[in-house]
Amino acid sequence: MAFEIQSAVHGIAPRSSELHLLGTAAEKGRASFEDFEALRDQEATEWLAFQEASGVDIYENGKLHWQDRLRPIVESTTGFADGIDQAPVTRWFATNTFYRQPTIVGDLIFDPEAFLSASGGVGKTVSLLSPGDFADLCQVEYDRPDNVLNLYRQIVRELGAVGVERVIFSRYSGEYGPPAFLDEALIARDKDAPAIVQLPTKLAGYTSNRAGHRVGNAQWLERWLPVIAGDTTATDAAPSDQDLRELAATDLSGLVFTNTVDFEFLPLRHAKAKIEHLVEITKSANERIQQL
Amino acid sequence: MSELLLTQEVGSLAKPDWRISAVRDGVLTDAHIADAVAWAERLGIDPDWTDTSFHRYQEWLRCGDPTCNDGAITGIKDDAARFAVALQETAGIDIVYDGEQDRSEMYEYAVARTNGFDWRGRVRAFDNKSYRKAAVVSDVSPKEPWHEWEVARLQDNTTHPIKVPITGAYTLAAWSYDEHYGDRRQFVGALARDVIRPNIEQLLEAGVEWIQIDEPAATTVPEEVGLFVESFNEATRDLIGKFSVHICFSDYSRLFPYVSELENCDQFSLEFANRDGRELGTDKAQRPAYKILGQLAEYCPDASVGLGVTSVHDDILETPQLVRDRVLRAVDIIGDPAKVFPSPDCGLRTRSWDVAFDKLRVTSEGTALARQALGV
Repeated sequence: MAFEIQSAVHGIAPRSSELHLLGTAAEKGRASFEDFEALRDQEATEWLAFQEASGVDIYENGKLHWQDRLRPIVESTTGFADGIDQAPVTRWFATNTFYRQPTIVGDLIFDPEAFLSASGGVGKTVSLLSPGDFADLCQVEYDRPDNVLNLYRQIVRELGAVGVERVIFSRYSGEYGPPAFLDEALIARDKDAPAIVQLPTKLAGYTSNRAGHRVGNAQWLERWLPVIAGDTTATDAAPSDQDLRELAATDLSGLVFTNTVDFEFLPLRHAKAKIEHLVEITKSANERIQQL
Repeated sequence: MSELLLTQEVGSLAKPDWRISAVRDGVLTDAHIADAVAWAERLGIDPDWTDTSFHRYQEWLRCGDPTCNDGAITGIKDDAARFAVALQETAGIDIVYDGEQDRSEMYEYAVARTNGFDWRGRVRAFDNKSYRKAAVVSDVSPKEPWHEWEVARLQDNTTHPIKVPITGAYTLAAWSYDEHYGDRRQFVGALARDVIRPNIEQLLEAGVEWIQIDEPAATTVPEEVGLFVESFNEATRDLIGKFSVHICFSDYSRLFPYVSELENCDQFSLEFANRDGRELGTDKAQRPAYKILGQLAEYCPDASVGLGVTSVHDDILETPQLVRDRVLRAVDIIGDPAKVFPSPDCGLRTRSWDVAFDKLRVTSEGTALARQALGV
């Protein structure tokens, strides 16, 4: 086989109901944070094992330490206003999920050790909010045009230094956010940086004009195609023969089927079912595309 | 009660530990009773009566007989609602409700009383807070009245004006998985027409004069803000009553120009303190959060504003002077103190009763300072 489509899972994983309720109880003083952290660590291990056992080709650690998509970065970077745990609660796009809005008050200097501690470690693949989305979601009291871009350069370089091979930039702002810009490409110019993959916004599908952008070091170009909706329970379609013909007409090297948005918008069992479906779809596509 | 700058609550309060423990675990400890008695003293409720009642509940819960148990649970639930109203009144709030003491959560409570949904599981809201999320799997219709019993009980517990919060159609749709309609407009329209409107009609028949439709999701999809407006109109068109909408933690700039099409909306209850500075002062530099009120006055000149002056997502207590300045800023923009109703940003369910009481108290005290400053 000249190529093989790979499957990939990115983003924050769902917590179990037990972990959700234990976290709430701990905040209210009805359970201990030690018990909460022990269960969280156990679920992080189980999430990794589940992805591996399911046959997912590329995955990350599920980020169960992440309270939202910005906070471990904010907690490990100077130049943000203090007190992120008390920062304004802000709605996360079209969901009933929120984040704490950081405020940029100075030059952003990243501390990798603090990040690894705040994020519960990293594997070989790490997904982050794209620099454009990150910048757009912060309040800015200290304005320097390349501040967030410089922060991301530091992050990517430091992640590379601890063995990260691939950084995924996910975009949420979509069609009503700021226009996509080329920060990712600028970061990827650094020859020592890990490969950078920029995900397209959340639409799920197989048509080539929705395919993920390839950004990165010349020696490793991947194209990630979100085919599984991470925020709906409806069953995602497998590619039709026409979809596969269209895909086959493009350069298939480095093609990756993945989820649209983080699976934390689904209850745990639904997320697991979606991941199993993703693996099936990918396997089936590899078999069928050879027969076309 | 002054007729200008009336203060109002927005919805929920936390449930006291004695209610949670009794209802969930069937346990009422001596510490729970002591806590209830202490709150009774603070809220002007007879502490001796409270002590006697709660010891009786304790005995009933211990006896194991289902009738005794039901009696205890009913009594404790009623007392929680009564205490919640008294908490608001004692803090000086003019327009009250029962702290949503019998509601699990604004989404879950409504969905559980509506046909057509199946639960799918729990997902995160923020930090360590989560909610149960459902999928719509068939046509929606009311399963049972949502708030009939709350209102009947409340009417015995207060002489203050009340405002009943009810979750809106757009938000229910936006926060659910759609496995049936396949079209957001159809889903939202069905909820507004077949579920929200019948509930509102029932509340009006029960004598309720003011209903607050909670639509925190209203602006989350910019191209669907018009759909939220359509659903509000569908649910309230030609009904006689006062209607308001509560929206929070959102980009309010997306409301315009759509909200000028709202046909029956008397008030916009909005969160501001969450995004405002803490410095004292009444000009736009110190009060950046309230800028959007100018647009609101332009597009909806007849509407009043439920003005968030205290944050609900932290325990940091605002000073009365800060509340005063927020109110004065709003009055300056709106131009009429009769159209400004100071309140917390949102329901206070994530705060302890101690913090919630203090937040409500400074809302009231700061508003009194604003009245003084305005000479009204």
